[in-house]
Amino acid sequence: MMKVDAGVCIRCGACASVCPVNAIEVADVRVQADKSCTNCGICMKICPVGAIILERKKV
Amino acid sequence: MKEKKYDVVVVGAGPAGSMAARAAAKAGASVLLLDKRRELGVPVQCGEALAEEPLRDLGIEPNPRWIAGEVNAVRLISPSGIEVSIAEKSVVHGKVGFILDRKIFDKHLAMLAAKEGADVRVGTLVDGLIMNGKKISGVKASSFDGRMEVRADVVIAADGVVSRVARWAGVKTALKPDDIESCAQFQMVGIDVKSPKVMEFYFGSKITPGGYAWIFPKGEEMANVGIGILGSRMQRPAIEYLKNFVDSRPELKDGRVIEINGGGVPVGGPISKTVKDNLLIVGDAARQVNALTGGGIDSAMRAGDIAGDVAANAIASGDISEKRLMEYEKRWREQMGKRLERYLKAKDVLLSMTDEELDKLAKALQGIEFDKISLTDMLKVLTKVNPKLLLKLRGLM
Repeated sequence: MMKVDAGVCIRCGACASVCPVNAIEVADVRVQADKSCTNCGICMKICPVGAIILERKKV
Repeated sequence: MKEKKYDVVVVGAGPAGSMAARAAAKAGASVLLLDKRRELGVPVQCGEALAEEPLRDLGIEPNPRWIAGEVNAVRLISPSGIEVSIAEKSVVHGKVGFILDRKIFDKHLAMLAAKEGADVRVGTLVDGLIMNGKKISGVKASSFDGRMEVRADVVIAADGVVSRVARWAGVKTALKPDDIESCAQFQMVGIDVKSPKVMEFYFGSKITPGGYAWIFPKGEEMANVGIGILGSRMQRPAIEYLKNFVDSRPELKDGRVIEINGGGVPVGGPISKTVKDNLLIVGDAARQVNALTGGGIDSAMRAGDIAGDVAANAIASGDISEKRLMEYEKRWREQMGKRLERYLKAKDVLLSMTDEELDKLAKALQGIEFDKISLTDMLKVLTKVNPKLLLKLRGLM
């Protein structure tokens, strides 16, 4: 699941615009993915400020 | 749960959404303009440059409250530092355009919508569509005072680059890394703006792969300094490239950053269809952006204005079929479709050029006086000065 460092994130929505499964919600105060996140990493690559990390889902 | 009913609901109060709400309300529709942000215009996600023309065309009086700088020339800087200057002479008052203060400008546009009678709700996040069978019949939203359902005859999706509303409706708007510029920008103070009326664009695969860096002056001591990197060519976050660019410029390196912003700019051309059932898609959400420059305020405002007008008139006529609403698509394509296509081709040519070729191009253009900043004029000059380069540019003529 993609995780966002809220201290770095500028809430621009670039991550959500490239998400192939529309999993990312960019609210006014935070950005988060829902369960449909496939860990593909495109959001992490595109983030202009490097605010995104990928966490492996817990088994 | 609160329930409301409007003729038109507009999701997103950026330039596209506010102009749509203004036009729809002006044409007699009841309109609700929604935005998730508690403060419109914040965070800034762009370089804030806008030509004077769209404001004039849309009847918006330029207001010093939201104009941070006026520019009348453009300077292009090639990878090896060759400068090409283009001054606009033939425009009224000798202006190319404005560097806006979007924090005020966006609020101003929302105010214009409100003045025409549109309701405005900020801090309201749309998180789903209300469906009636296959038809969209409104939006679901949450805000500080709870959840609400807003029914509407026509929904206008102006939710920016994220473009979730269109995606919920089944329109494919997800951007590929080739079709997005990842942009970071510093608003800087305490810098030495040598030419406060000149917008500067820097090119080169090392400093800004697949994009450009910009310095847009806001007066003599302040500027927007930004960079756009093509998603598919990024090796690091855009902000890292921006830091390197700032450090490399003597006039910038002692400046102070008073704001960090950024965003994704869609540069793959507009989506193929911007109408679906009773949904109209406008602005960045529809990818109505100049792919060469990444500028989108102009086309967003014009498309929004058309969308609002078409929606209200369709509702008044009692026919909100997709066929009737396709008038929006027809009108915006007539007005700017060809232009956006040419910019898209020009971008592809630019992306295909090596640093060496860019330097050659700059050398060829150097010292030539352009009366007007137009792609056609630049190409006409090129045909005379460097026929070899023309082979690559031929697709644009």
